[in-house]
Amino acid sequence: MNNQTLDTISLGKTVTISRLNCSKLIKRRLLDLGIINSTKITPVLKSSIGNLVAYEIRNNIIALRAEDACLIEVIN
Amino acid sequence: MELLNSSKKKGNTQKRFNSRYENNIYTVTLAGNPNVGKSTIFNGLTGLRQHTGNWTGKTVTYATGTCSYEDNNFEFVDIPGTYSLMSNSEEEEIAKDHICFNKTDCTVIVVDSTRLERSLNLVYQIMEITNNIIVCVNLLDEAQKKGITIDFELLSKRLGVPVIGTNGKKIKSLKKLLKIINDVCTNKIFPTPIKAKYVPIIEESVDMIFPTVKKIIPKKYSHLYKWISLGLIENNSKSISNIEAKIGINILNNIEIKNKLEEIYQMLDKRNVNKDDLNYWIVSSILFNSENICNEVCKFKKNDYNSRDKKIDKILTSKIWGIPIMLTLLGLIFWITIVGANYPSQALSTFFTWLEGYITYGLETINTPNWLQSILIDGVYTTASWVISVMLPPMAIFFPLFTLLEDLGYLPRVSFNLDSCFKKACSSGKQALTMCMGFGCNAARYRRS
Repeated sequence: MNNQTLDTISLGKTVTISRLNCSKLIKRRLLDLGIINSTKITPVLKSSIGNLVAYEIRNNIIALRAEDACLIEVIN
Repeated sequence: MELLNSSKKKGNTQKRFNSRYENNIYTVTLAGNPNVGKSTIFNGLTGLRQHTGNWTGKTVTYATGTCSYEDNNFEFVDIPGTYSLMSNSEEEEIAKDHICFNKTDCTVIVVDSTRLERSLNLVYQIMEITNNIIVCVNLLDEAQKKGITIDFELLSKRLGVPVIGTNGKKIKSLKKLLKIINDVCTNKIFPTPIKAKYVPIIEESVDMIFPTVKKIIPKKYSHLYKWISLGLIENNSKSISNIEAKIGINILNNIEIKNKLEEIYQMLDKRNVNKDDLNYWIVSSILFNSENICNEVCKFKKNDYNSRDKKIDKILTSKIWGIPIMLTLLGLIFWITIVGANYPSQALSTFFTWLEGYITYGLETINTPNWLQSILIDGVYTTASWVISVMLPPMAIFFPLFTLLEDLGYLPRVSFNLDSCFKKACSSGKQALTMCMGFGCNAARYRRS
């Protein structure tokens, strides 16, 4: 149950968001995309080059770079 | 919509132009998330009579266009697509400024039928600013493909504003939209938005600061009171200072506001609420409202409605196949463009040479002086025909093919694959599309050399 960040989660594994650990402006944007506490999120695709990962959240697919994803703390 | 107009008024352009000044002109804002077919609706409604406006002080432009229905004229303003009005990117600033300060007769919010929940966030935010809202649920064909059905009547009841389902490509559905726009603008329908219910702590904080906001801000901006209150308790200083600049009143440094905020923070402290979490509470309240509505009005026929898409995506973005597929597809398009364009080019070139003979003959028979003939034939005509025969065929081949890729939805996958390359140039994968479009010009250029 220990806290992990979203970028370390392997593909296809569903986790729950527990905390957003970032500055106000980025936080507001993440919130507006539906990334809020206790929402389930699943990494579904990895970009062929680089560290972009697409996540399924609330029936949507959104892509986040690893440096943004590591600001999101999740629990199993 | 061109059709629509011609069926209504058979007059020529001049007549239509005049009628603009005889009748009422209503302004209508088109708002919505990015990629919901807003521009398709805009183009459908305004036909070819549109121009892009460069609004003073802004680097991003937005388009305006006109359209008429019965005896009324409508001016549509297509503002940049955004997910929210509270974050602070440039597009959002423009969208927010427009909605807050250019009072329009009606705001049409275009939402994606396959992602209703996410879209409602923006709907609820705009509801805090204006009442005359129409929600236009677009991309119905996509929803149908994915087995999603939406109960529009119920959605309209829950939101308190007219809701209409459209398919931007179908003129008939746009006609219905235009009728509702007409009804709202001419006060035949009064939308009464049912605003988002916030968690008690937010409602209380708003109630505390609202009277002070009301006191210091002129009545002219009364529609913004709630919006400003929310911005203040959320401590969204950038958003507030932007409003300050527009209305010319110092809000953040106002002593009464400061005292009131202090009071609110004390109240929060007593209840063990962190004031930095207030924006979380505001957004999650809105999301909670959206979620509830969606659960009521949306029905998913197939549970795993995007399983096929997922499989395709896996291949298109895989480590092994992603880049080769992309290169092959783009390469194929360029090859078709460059090789395929040769034939029509040649034909055009032959045609123009053939025509040139006749024109020269014509000019000679009317005894045109040599110098004039040289200017017209060797200068104007040759250059024009050369440009047309070289440039037109590749354009006519490349752009439709590119549009095909876009319609298939492949381009977002390209952006996804190439993001890290673009990141190195301090940009994002989105730019891949612009770059590919640029190749269209290169294709023409390489043929020349």
